[in-house]
Amino acid sequence: MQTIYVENAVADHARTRAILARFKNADVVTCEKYSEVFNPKTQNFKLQKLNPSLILAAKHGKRVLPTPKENHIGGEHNYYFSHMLNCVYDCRYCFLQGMFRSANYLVFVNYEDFFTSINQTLLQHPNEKVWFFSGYDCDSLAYEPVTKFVEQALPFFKKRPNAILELRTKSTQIRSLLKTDALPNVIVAFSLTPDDIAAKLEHGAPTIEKRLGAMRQLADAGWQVGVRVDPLIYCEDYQQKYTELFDSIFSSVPAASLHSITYGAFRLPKPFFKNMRAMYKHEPLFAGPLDTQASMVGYEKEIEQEMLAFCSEKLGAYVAGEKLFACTLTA
Amino acid sequence: MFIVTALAAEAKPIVEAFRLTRQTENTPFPVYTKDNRINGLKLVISGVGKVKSAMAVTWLYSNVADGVNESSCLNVGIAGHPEAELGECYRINKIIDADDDKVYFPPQVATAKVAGKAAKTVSKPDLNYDGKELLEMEASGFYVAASKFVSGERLGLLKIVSDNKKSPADSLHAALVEELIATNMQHIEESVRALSALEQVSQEAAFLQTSASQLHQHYAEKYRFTVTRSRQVGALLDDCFSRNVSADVLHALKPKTSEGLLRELKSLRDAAPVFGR
Repeated sequence: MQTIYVENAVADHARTRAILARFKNADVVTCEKYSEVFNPKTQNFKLQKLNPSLILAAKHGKRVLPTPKENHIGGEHNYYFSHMLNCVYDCRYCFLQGMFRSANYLVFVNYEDFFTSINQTLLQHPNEKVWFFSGYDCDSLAYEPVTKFVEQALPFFKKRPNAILELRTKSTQIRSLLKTDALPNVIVAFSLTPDDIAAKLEHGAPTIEKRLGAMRQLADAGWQVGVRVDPLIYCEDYQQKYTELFDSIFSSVPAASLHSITYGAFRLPKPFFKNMRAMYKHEPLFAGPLDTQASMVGYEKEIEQEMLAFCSEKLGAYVAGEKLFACTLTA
Repeated sequence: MFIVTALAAEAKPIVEAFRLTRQTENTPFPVYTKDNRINGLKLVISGVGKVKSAMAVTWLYSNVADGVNESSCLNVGIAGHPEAELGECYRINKIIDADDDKVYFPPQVATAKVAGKAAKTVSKPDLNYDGKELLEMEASGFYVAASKFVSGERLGLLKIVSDNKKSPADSLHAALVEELIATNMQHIEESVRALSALEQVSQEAAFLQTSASQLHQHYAEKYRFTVTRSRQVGALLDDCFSRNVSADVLHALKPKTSEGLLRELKSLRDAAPVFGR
């Protein structure tokens, strides 16, 4: 890491000092608010991705937000939070490219405030299960060696069995989890894509084999794991590719450890798609067959339905229906 | 790739190292080039101060830059600092404009391997040597103006310490400035290489974009497009290029109307292989 921007307000925060100690050779640049660095218009996400900087800041305002309905996995009360914005990987389909101007990693170091917000949310639903999703605006584990967020979140969730935490990842950074006894209210969900599609689109992410290896290790240690086949990517032989992927998953991971499987076709809010298309004008993924409906860009209806039906049938042969969730606006 | 300096003495070692020659045309700023290629290295001497620096980069990007405006630009200059040793070279990662206290953070993507530092842009020489920042006179004007044309990643600023409390600016002379710049040519060349590499990143995309734009222009000359139709044709051309439909095939389309063109482009796109092939 060559440059680390630090908000003046967190310059003396213990977590800031710990992270800075890890990058002794980095230039530390102070700023009043992270938005001075993260939000200016004159930035290019694609170019920044070549050499991202790190921003350390405090998250103010709403730290816990309701999740979109199509992302629920059986729970009644669902929220997400982001202790980090942006991701160390460079997946071509990822909406973050379309949502943010900056590719710098923004880490909010005030974890205690996130935990306070989660507590306040739990109080709104006394004696009920409440889901908290952590991997929407970042990969939950990929930057764990730096952030140590999960290491600090696990004791918090251990004391709150009604709070269910989903960590969503493509990474193999599972040390924090393996050195803790498995918690029944934490699900480690892995995003998986057929090998050759991953090689074309998920730049910098571990291979599927390595991800499955990490899942297996966690399952062996007693953790519940999830499978996230989202986004499904259309290609002419997608059925063969996804059949092979499902075979690999279910031969690697014991069914008893599988908490849930979700699947959903490639889709993006129209403004994000527009930004991504402008950045990667000749990326084949963005050349269709796509359609725009209700301000979302996704595969043409017929193709989307065909892919979802295919997944439902194939995955249904491996796991019970109550563990299977389609992520779609029309589901 | 552009380089902007304020002084002729700052430019001289760079001109010599890159073997640039003075352009003979009458231009508002002295321009030195490697050759007459549109994408070649160009150095401009702006004159002292943020306004002149802003004018020079505006002129460069408006009159000299290639069509897709993806040229990188490096500002090289001298600066003062209370304690830093004369000849120390820094890349600028924060710019504070002393006139209005506005702060800018140039993205640090393509950089020389030298330490980063904040610069304070002042409108007249400041011999008090207060504060922690490098004191100089161009950075904010350069950055604000250049970032109207290209994203901040394509802009670099290198400042070389020319004066400090022990050796104040009033004792500066051209020969010393030349020497300070010359001893840092390695860092300047490294910055030029790194910033030029960013231009390469988008070269292929720019080539496809140019091809798509040329075809779009070719169609526009043959058919009368409404704004909507023009956008539809542009999007279909992007799709066709993404799916590797050959430019020759696209060029050979000869429908009678723009509706026919749209139909034929759609049909070519849909017949071409989708992602994954």
